[in-house]
Amino acid sequence: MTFGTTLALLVGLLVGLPVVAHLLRRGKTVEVEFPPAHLVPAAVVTSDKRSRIEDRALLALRCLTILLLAVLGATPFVKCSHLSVDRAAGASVALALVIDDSQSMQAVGRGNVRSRFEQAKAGALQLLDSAREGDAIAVVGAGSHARLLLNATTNIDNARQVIAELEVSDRSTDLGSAVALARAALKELPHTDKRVALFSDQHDKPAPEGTPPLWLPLPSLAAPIGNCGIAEAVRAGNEVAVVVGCTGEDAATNQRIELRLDDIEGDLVQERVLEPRAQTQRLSFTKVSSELSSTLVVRLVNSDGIERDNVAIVSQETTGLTIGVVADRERTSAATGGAPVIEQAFEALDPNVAVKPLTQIPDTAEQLQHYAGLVVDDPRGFSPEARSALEQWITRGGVILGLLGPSSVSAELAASSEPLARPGVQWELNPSVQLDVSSLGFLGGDAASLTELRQVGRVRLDAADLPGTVIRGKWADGVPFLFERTLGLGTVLTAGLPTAFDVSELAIRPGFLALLDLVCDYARSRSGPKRTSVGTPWTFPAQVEVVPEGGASVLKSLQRTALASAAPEARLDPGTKQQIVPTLTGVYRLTVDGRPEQRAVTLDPQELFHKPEVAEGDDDRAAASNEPRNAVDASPYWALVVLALFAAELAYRALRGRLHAS
Amino acid sequence: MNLQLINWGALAPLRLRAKEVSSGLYFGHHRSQHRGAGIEFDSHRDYVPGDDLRRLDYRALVRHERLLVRQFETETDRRLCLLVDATRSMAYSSAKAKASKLAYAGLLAAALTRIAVASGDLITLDWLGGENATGLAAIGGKLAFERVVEAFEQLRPKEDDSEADARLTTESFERRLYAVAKAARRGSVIVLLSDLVDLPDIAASEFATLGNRQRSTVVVRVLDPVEAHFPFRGVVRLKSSTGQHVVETDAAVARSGYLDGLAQLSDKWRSALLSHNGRLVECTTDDDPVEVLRAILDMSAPVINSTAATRLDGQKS
Repeated sequence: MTFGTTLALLVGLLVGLPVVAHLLRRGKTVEVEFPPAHLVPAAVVTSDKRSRIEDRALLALRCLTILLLAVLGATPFVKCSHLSVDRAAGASVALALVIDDSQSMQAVGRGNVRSRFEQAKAGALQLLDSAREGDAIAVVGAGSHARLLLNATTNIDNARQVIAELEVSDRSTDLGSAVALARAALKELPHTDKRVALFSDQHDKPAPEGTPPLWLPLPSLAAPIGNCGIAEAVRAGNEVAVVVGCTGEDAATNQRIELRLDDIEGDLVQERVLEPRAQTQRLSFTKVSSELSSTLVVRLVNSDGIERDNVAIVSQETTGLTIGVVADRERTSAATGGAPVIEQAFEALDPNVAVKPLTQIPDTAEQLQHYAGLVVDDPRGFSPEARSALEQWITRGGVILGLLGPSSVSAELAASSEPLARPGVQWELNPSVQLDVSSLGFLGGDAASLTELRQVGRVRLDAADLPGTVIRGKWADGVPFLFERTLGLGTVLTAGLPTAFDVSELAIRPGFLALLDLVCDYARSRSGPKRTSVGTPWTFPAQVEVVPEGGASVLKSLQRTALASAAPEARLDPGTKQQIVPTLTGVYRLTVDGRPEQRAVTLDPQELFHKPEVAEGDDDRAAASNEPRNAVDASPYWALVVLALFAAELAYRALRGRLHAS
Repeated sequence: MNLQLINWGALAPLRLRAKEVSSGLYFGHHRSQHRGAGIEFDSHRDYVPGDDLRRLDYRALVRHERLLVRQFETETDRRLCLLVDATRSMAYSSAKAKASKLAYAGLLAAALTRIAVASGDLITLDWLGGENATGLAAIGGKLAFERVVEAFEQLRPKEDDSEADARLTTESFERRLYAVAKAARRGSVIVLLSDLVDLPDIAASEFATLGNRQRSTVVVRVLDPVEAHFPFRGVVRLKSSTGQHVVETDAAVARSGYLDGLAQLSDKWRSALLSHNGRLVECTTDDDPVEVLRAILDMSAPVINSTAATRLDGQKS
């Protein structure tokens, strides 16, 4: 609070003046001329009548007027509930609206009619109402995976339409990526005043610092709302395992979960009581009769902040994701021993991912079909048989991450780095060059951890791109660091650094974990594991008939996106692909090339209980960034109210005078 | 209170307002009780020796073979004697009143004068209290109206009236009353315009005695609306015009007592006047002066068994 605000608000203390004046006036009756005074009998006036404060309505009006004058003096420091874009010297503004459409935004607080998401949309539309010609608007969805819904445009109507059509989902929150996307969208714009407005409940790690700084127009969205939700319900034989997340003890207290047949109103099979604690808890319904072959439904009994996540259809147990890792165990393991750092990283990322160490790439595609993804660290090239097997496997949907290093450039006879890179890549000793972190924005907030990376050298990929390659990351001098290439249904990722600790620090940076996470996501979406988290896209080669299980409401959650092939020279299937992004949890039945399959979309349990984390110094940063931009000059409105009060006082006095006269 | 000037308020200019008020009434020549020479035919009677032969009705003689004398109404010069209370209390006007009581009394006096002038009557004007109060001897014609208006316009109530000066002493009241009685001939109408507040106790009985010798007396009690209704609330501190009489009271408690006192004062004047064929008219400065004037003229007519006092809100007592 500034000195000016304090001073203005201190004016409010003058509210005591009219009180004192009325108190002083108390007991001092006004002397009135009255010629026939001698005809008036003197009456005993009691002390309570003397001490009674007169004209209480007038006193209230005067006190209110002074208080409003104090507020008027404090304006425009006083925040107004209506959001608007404050602009310096009338200059145009480049504004990125980051709207969280994750599951936790469905929560409706007590005494509130609108959900967090509806409040966020309304706030964003209010901001757009104050946008002017020349302002550039970008819209980013902060539900995982973060998406650039609208690239920066000066067409305000487009932005308004995108926000109006945005629907809440069951995605988890991905603030880091969303903010990075928003900053990247504004980066090239010529505007001097750039802002990133975040409408989120912040159920995620704090967004990384950077420019432009974050602006939280509606910090109230982060207010806690009690909720319990079902993240996952899986049946394995006679057991149904349910993962439930709660925001706090209060929400979990006296909460019960029921297992019912067919529907939420179906026959009750079993019932469990939740432990009164926050975070996730796993509950099991055992001895479920195997004869119950119909659909099973689990339901949380007590209503809470989000009603939708209180019901879930039980899915059949499915196999998880298997990733094969080819790495030199001696060079890539920590000095303290243990598994190679890549394997440890996968285990840390997702316990459901099965990591299988491989000594070398198998020679046949059949041997690779068990793997959804492969990570190859500093390979000494691939034999012709291995290359053929890899290409077949990739075109069928495999995902491979190749981390090229000094060994990759000294390939053995007849071996080649294809399909990771064109043969003839060069190793360059260059310890001083740094990664261009801004080019790795798709890794989210963890990309920042790759700054000041120490390495002895790098593989130059600038002449190693195969047809269809897209550069996803660069070094500061413009040399490519990361390639991505689509081959059939699969994806090839090639990085110019290995994980060996004697070569670089890449493996111990969080950005590397983000890269591995990306591999998992790709593997899930392309190879099609039976159970995916919400928001993970499914990619299919041809038209797919999708039949959701659980009603029409689930069907609406499927967002089909026809993607033109990014690889015009792809050797297989150059036609149109189809990507399906399930945005709501549930069980889906799909028919892929005539083969029926069932997929379960689960909720990220973190989303259910994650609370906003405030990084050190965030309070000051939020205060500094929010106040001047969130404030609306309410002076005219306050002034009108003060005038109205003055008029009310005059009217009251006139009325009183008339009453006395009559 | 600054009494330098009369608060004429909405009643100014007096000349025009007085003409408006008087024009609102039907007025004309009032008839004399004396029959004889005149213009307006009244009746016949048998001729008696000594009658003026010019009054002999020859047509009646031819038709009826009787000597009949024609009788006519004679127009008399009934005198209007105005006595106006100019004590300090008459200068009072409340915030919402149209004008002061003295201004209202002046309006009534001027309107009465105009009516009297139109009827050919003479007018006298005298004052109770006041400074620079110019009395008028019997005067008639258009000049009378101008003189009365000028007298009101020149009136300057005293600045430093003491309580004793503000309230008329018995002696000064009787002295003024004697002057009025001297000027009022038989058949005169004596009109007192006052709030009756600052008059001595014997004023009612003394003034009522002027009703002898076929003179009519009318007392017009002019009050401010605040005085008539006592609309105060809560604890009030009331002071008289001079400020020497101060009373602090609870208005809710004192209201009934005050109104009773006011009614007793009215009753005292009414009963005193009634015994001498006099009348009391009560009005406030908010009342329509035309109606007040009509009431005064009705009361001044010597009608036996008429109402003794009239309040202008329609109640007659």
